[in-house]
Amino acid sequence: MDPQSLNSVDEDLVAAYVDGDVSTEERQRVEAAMAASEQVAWEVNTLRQTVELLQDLPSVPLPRSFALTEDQVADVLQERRALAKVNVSLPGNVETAPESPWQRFLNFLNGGDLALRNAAALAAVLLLLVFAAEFQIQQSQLGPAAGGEQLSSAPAEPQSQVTAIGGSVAEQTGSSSDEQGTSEQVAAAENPQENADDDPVIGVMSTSEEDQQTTDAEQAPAVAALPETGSASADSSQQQLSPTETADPAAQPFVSILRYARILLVLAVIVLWLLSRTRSRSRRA
Amino acid sequence: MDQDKLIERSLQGDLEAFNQLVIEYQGLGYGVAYRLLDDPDSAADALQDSFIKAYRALDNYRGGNFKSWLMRIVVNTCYDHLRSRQRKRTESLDDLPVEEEYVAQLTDRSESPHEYAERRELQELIASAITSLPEVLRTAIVLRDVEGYAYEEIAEITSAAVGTVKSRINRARGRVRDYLSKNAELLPSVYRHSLK
Repeated sequence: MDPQSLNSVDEDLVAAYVDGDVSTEERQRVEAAMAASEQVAWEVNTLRQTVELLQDLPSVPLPRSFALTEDQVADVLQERRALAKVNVSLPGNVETAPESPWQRFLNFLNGGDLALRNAAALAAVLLLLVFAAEFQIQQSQLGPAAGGEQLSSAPAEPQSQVTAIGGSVAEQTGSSSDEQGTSEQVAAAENPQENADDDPVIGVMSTSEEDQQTTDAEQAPAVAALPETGSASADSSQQQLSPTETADPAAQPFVSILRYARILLVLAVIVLWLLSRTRSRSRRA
Repeated sequence: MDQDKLIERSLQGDLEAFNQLVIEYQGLGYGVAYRLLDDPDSAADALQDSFIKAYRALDNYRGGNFKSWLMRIVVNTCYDHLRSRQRKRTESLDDLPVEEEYVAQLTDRSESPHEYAERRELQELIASAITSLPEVLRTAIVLRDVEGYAYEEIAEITSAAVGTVKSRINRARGRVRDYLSKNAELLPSVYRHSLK
């Protein structure tokens, strides 16, 4: 190693040699160079002596403690303490008791986007109102028939009374009942003998039996007065007297509207609820 | 307590935990700051600033050698103080280091006044030699030869390659030697002739 050619690589090696931090091969290289050149030997030796002088410097005693006070780092300290509190109060850090099925159900109902959930609830309430309105209309239409049923289950009465009641029912049930009453009269006119032979009491009894048979079809009592020979016309009368068919023509459009409203509201409840859950889930994500 | 635990607690706002780290490293930090700045008051100020900076920057500590991370802050803070001092070259006599305190701390009562004076002159000469070095060389030689850090630690503290660190150390030693050889009469007789 020529002292004139001490480049940065050699500097590394000399420093490491002085510190005794070289491999056997590196040490041999440096010592060979020192043996070959007095200048290199002087360089290495004087550096080693310099290091000894530097290492002899006394350690410096501490003048005081450098422990920090709260005032010196007040802002950061408050931030970190606040952050630590938040982290402690995070749900993930707190062990919660397992929820009961009822609580899970309530959570499920309460979950989702609030606005959409409220819209779904409103649609559900409207749906209930539609059901109530439909029920009310059906009740008002079926009211007279229900009266007939009550009559049919009542004790046997004289035929004159039954006829009178049947007539009153026919009047209340509108045009179809009027036709029915007419057909009854026609049938009676066509079979005068048969009617004359019938015992009035038996006639009443047969009327009751016929009523019971036609209860499901919610027939008016007047149908019961029909003879067996007129069964075909009685059947057609039964078909005509189904609940929907007996609705007041003025109420028909209203019933249709309610039916559509019911379908729309059911769809609205389902769609709004699903949207509410979806939006809530996407927000959490 | 485990150092990582102390750091974790410090991050949660436990100042006492951080002060345990301060107590552990304040001696090392003060030694480096004192040798780099060559002034006890400046060294104390720089070290105090360093610990405050370290506490504030603790979020940025990503594990590894905490001592090296902390000493890098100390070294950089000392650089800041050096530059600040250079700007204030108009220092008055009141700003000069109070040598009496230092002298009192380093007095060996068994030595004669003559020996004591010679030792003090030698220490001052070596300190002057270190102070005469550029910042990077000064840091390298102080960390290695005065404070005894490993090459790898110095590389980490100064953000330099190990080869660069060795090179800087060698150059710094050479300059200190040259500085001392110009004042060989102050050196112990063992070194007086060999360094010339």
